[in-house]
Amino acid sequence: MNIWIDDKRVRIFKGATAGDALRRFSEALYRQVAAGEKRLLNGHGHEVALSGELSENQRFHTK
Amino acid sequence: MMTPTSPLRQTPKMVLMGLLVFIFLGRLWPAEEHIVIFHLNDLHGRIDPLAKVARLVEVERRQNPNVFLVTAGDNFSGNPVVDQYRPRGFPILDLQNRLGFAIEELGNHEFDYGQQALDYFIDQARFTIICANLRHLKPGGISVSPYAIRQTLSGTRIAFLGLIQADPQTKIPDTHPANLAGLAFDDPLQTAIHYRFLRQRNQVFVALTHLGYDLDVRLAQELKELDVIIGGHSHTAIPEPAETNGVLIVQAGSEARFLGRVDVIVDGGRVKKKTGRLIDLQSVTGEDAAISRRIADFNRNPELERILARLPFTLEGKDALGCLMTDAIRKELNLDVAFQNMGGIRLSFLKDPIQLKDVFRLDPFNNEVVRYTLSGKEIRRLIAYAFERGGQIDLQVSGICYDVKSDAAGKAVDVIITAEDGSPWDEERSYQVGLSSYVAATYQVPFQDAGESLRVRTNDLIIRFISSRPDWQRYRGVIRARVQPAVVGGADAR
Repeated sequence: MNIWIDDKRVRIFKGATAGDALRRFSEALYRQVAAGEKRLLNGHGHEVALSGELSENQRFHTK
Repeated sequence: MMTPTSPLRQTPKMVLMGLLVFIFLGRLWPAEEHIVIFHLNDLHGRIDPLAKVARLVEVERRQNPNVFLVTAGDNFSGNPVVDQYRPRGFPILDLQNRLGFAIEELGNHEFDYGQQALDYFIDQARFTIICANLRHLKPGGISVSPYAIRQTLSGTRIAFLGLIQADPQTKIPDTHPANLAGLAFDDPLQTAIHYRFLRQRNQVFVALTHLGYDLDVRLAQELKELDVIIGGHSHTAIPEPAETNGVLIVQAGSEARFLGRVDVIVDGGRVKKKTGRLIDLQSVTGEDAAISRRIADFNRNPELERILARLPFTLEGKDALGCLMTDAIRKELNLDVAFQNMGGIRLSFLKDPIQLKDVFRLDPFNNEVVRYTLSGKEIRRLIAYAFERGGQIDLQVSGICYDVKSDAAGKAVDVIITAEDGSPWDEERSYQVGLSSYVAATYQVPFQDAGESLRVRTNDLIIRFISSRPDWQRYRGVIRARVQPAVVGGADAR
């Protein structure tokens, strides 16, 4: 499936979590989000947990 | 003396009829009524914060009779204390009953233990379980309602419509397909349209969904008759909920980090105001003492002490343990090859007897198995990539053995693969390969196949495999992955 993080496409296996997609995108960013130094936001600006389930073409931003 | 038809005899009837007309026209609705809906979603077995939730809800109930506690699904799966309890998931059921939950919408993970376990859950629940887009393909099976109605003390009716996500391609929720035999799932948005009539019959219309935030927004766009959508699935925390198309959309993150609260003011039988907010449970100090004790009892789950198998010797080293773990994945799922990264093997030995809790110490991450169809060349590239990440063997394996020839800089100049018995390996064919979701997400090897989670956890497979009493002698001193320093200048790189 395709997920968009910070406007870049991430190809990830079907059934992945938001954390899986973020790890695929950047292990460093994943660690920052897991440590609470950064936040993972959905396309509407709401915070999403790394365990969140995904749907095709979902958009995320890190902040 | 009055006759039976005298006006004075008719007066009580007229008063009664007038009263009925007033009620029918809604003129006897209380001037203003305050309804509180507390909501949770995606607990995933996290029971510890529920003592705080119990306290908060109880305090509110003492002040207001119109308090409802609901959940938007996925309360099972993620905590061995809950998942391994007998019956499976019982701590969640028991605590939901004790906290006085009113309604639950099914989430995809409510099916993880199978339909028999879910049937028990539904049977024992002292709350209503809803899901409007679930259909039975044959008679019998689990029984849920499409929606539920709750009333306030003064008779204000609140309709809760339940909707669960279904994958657009497979048309089923995200769980192992075997758990959904005999069930079909209709498109949640189209289903919701059929329940528009609930608006006419109820003063408050709530969708309790397990769709994910993006679909909740689409639901609000399609069904403006709704007052509130209480969502789950995407684990989205919405501290300041906004309205879409006049519909308030709320969701409370996941794993009870927050308790969601929706306040609805109904005036004259109509919703006058609706607001939502999150209560950060980490900052709450009060707990319900009885619930807290109950949770402590559950956390001492005796099932985790259960002996799975007796070992004739201590299984030592990550090679042996990695072979055991990957054999579990490969054999339990009938795959050709399975890999496990060294970092995911969290014990250095297993000794007699192996208890259930040992498996969760060995493999604590709740990774799922992701299946790929890979060519021989792709498998070779994966092994080389994994080796070069740290300049050492990183992937334990089942189904094949391999040797990595490396140069002085830690680059894999060759990977020699054989079958487990040492016979030649066919690089030209394709293989069904199982990777943990961690490896699938983090190892940046471009495969032709995008992969698919099989919705089974590696630790569950290890429990099954160990319980099947494998031939332990296979693991004595076993090594399937080796590194050979290449002769300087003599590497025959492929």
